[in-house]
Amino acid sequence: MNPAEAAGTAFGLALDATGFRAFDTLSAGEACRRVEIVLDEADNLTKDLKASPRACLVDRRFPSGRQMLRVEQLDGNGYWVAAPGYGRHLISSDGRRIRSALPRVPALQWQRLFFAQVLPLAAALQGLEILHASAVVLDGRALGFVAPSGTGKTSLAVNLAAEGAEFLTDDVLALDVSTATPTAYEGARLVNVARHEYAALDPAARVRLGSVIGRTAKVHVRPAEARSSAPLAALYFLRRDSSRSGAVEIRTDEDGSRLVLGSGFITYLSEAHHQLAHLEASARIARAVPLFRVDVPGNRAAADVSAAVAEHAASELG
Amino acid sequence: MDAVEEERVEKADILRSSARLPEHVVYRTFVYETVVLNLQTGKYHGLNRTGGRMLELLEREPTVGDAAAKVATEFSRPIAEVEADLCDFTSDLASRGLIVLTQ
Repeated sequence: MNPAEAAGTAFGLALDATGFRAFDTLSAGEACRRVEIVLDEADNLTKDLKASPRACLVDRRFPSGRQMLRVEQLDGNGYWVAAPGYGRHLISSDGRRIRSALPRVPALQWQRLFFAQVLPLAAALQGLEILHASAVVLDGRALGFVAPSGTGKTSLAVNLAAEGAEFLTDDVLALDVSTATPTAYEGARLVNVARHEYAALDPAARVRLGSVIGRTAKVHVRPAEARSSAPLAALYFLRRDSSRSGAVEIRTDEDGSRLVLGSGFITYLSEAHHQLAHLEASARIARAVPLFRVDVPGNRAAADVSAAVAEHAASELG
Repeated sequence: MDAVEEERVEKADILRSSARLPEHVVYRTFVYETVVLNLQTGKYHGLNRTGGRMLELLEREPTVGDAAAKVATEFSRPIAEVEADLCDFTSDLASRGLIVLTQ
């Protein structure tokens, strides 16, 4: 598919979304796969769900017991991804077709599930490696930042973008590992920034980062237009240690293979061919790309981490 | 048969054996280690570089004894020492279901 004919691209997928609701968080960039997205009625999707033998893969709930996210595998018919108030989706087993029933809510709300779970799953089913990582492009090369939620990978990417890097993706990084150097693809053109992080940026840095398209508990920013893919040059694994003070330390990590294996975003695909694909992709990434551990003292702000990574990338990656 | 003799016989049996990976076991070489994956259990097992090379040779050579000879040459170690180490290594992998030994 010619990307120009698509509704946009994200995670290496060109979205063939004729008749689908408009996206304001996609760019017309490069893609290596395509996915067809069609709107459907919730009743039709639910009927198909109930007609198929299925297994629950994810049942995530709020402390109150209310459903947060449910993912099910339908016997031979793909995957069901649903979150109350955020939409219901049926994704084909090969990841090439998505049927979606969307609630009548602001676009930013239904797009959260769509970009955080639905498209990454479709990309994974099409053979892309999906890491739990944020990424920027610096001097034409992609740098990925892997860390558990709340460790600061989004803040790091935001601060680097505020200093002039191109923002590539927030939280979910899609990689095509079929070539000698993995290609990193952009995610949604959306980053959710903690209010205090956004407030800490000076006005010029905010302009460089992008435009605000909404505010909830976080500030929703559409990053400035940038390239949609870049060769992956390094992966940085962040670890925050609240008991330590001092400088941010960055070093080559000889346990990197385990870190890559443990950084997959779609962890519920447990069939043998998915496990094998993840092992193969992890091995390729570890052989092709330097892996660094970033030890962040608890008292260091995101801007400090950003400066240390930028300096490290400039000196170590040539 | 005393324990020492029993161990010697067991070692000789292993050295005459052929080691093969079951279909549900795969491995890939990373930069600093080799990772073995049991697709039935979803468990990963890490081997250092020497262990990874031993596994490659165990899979490739007709017998464990042949693999030991190759390892001894490659790493410039006495054959008796390598045979003992490789027998322990092989027994450990077999006990985890990562290789199958056949006579």
